[in-house]
Amino acid sequence: MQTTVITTDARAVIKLEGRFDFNSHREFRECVDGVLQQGAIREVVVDLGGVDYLDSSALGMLLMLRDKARGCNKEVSLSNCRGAVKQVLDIANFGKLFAIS
Amino acid sequence: MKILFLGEASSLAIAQGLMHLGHEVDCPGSANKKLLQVPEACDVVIVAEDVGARLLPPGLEKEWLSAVPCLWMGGKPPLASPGHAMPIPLSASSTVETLQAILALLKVSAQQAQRNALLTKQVDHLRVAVDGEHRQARRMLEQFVHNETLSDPAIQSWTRPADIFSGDLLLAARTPAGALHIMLVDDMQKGTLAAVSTLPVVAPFYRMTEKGFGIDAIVREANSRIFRFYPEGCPVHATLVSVDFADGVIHVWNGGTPAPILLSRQHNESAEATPHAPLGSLPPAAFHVETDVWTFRDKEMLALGSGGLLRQLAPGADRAGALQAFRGWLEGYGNLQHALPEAPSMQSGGGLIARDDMSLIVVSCHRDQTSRQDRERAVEGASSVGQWKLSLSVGPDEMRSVDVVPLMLSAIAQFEAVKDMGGVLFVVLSELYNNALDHGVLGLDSSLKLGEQGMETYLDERAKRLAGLVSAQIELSLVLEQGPEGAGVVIVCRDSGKGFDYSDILNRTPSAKDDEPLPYGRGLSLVLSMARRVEFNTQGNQLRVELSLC
Repeated sequence: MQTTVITTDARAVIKLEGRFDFNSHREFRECVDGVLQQGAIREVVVDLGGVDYLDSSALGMLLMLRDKARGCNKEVSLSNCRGAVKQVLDIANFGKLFAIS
Repeated sequence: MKILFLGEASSLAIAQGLMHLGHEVDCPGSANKKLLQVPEACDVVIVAEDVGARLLPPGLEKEWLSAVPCLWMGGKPPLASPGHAMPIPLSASSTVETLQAILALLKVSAQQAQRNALLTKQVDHLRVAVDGEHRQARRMLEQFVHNETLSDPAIQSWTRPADIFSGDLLLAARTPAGALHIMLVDDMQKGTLAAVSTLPVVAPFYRMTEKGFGIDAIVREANSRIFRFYPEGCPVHATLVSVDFADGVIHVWNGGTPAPILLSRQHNESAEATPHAPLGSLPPAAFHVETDVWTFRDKEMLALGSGGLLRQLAPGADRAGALQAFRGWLEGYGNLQHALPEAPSMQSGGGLIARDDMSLIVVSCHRDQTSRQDRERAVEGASSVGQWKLSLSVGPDEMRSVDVVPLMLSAIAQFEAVKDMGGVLFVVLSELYNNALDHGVLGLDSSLKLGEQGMETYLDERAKRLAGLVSAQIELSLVLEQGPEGAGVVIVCRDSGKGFDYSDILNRTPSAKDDEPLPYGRGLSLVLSMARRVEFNTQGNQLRVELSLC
């Protein structure tokens, strides 16, 4: 999986590409920690448009991001969810936990 | 006290003396008139000798004297003491003081009688309420116990309920593979308590049978549920059997009810189950499930009787004697293939009414090859959606170097029937493979993932154990199958690990609906919500997941 971060003002978009599974743990975590350290950022958007597949540990990582972001008063949302990704997020009922678009 | 004083001039001094002591005294007798009605408004009647029975209304003496306590001063009362009345003979010389003492005693006993009447009334009310509850409990249970499942062609059964529900329950259901599961619950409790205490075993029986769990897993689950719900102890006596008609194998777990009996056609050999402690009697950690395994050739008969039935057949007999009587009774009815014997009369030899439910369930154990043929035919029928099987088996080297799930997924993507199922297949395959590797082969515990650095700790430990892995195997296969619900993909994952108690894991798995889920344990519930069927083998090292083609 590849991660790209685009920051504009108080908003950071984390763009993920490829297969989002437990192998991506370290990469995702480092990326998230980097974004959350920036005090100016109030909103984190995870762009899942380039993700082919995600598994249950990816869901765990998204929850980890949500908890950490809450700890430093930042909002997290998921964007560009479609196909296989949307299917999994729906089944896991993530609509209740995140703003999803 | 209110006193009705029947006497004439010579005894009126006594009446006056009683008045002075604070009693309310009515003296109609002095006017020499007859009393027509039973006196209800007084506490006691005092009849003085000089009046005798003259003042009592003719024909009503008995009712009159039984309505209130009556003190008969001097001589003998004209009637034998009727009902609860207390005609007390007094001598003519009785003083006001003696009377006063007797009246005080009467007052106490009247209060006692009043309290007793009230209690009787309350008990009656309670009895009505409890009877109503029993009826309701039975209705509730009947809803739970899908009676239609007992119409399974392999089963004949009857239940003869006692007056109060006393805890006999017959449950039967088939696993997806066609094995018949039967549970006979024979609770020692009575009434509502029986109904309530059996509830925790009903739901897991159906739910787990439907998912293809073996009876050992169901027994374990039922035990921990009852233990959890009723920690003070409310053990449920039950027997579970599983009959696999295709392979001719019966599994039996016997916990506190009479042992089931397998009778061969000639009745010259029979098997009896090993007795175990009832469900809920031991904490889950100390509760070890071992089933008896029997095989049958053909046309044999498996019979389960409840304690009530055996007690009826052999009153006062011990366990061995009762079973002997049960076997004799069954043999007396021939091979039972067609007609089930009548329930023995509720009237036992001693003329006692049986207070227990009596239940009997008989399974005709015919070898049935068709269920296996059905399965084979189903695969053939899948030609409309394609006909292929993909399987991969990996050892330690491949586990370290090959990206197994993407490899399988890229192969699967070539098949027309499943090309749109990538998302679901990825989740299921990666869940099954990663669980098999992490937990089955490497023996990692998900709770390592807890905490700030948890995931790192877990991944480091995983890498370490994977590097040191010497011998292990994981097999992953996909096949198209034509099932009763239409075409589907069946994914089977088997590992060389020692297996898990999957029922336990399912219980701990947080629901996907939880607002604050744990950082792990989501995988299996995801798979459960995507699959139309999930089955575990008894050892817990093989999972079979069936997905509908979309």
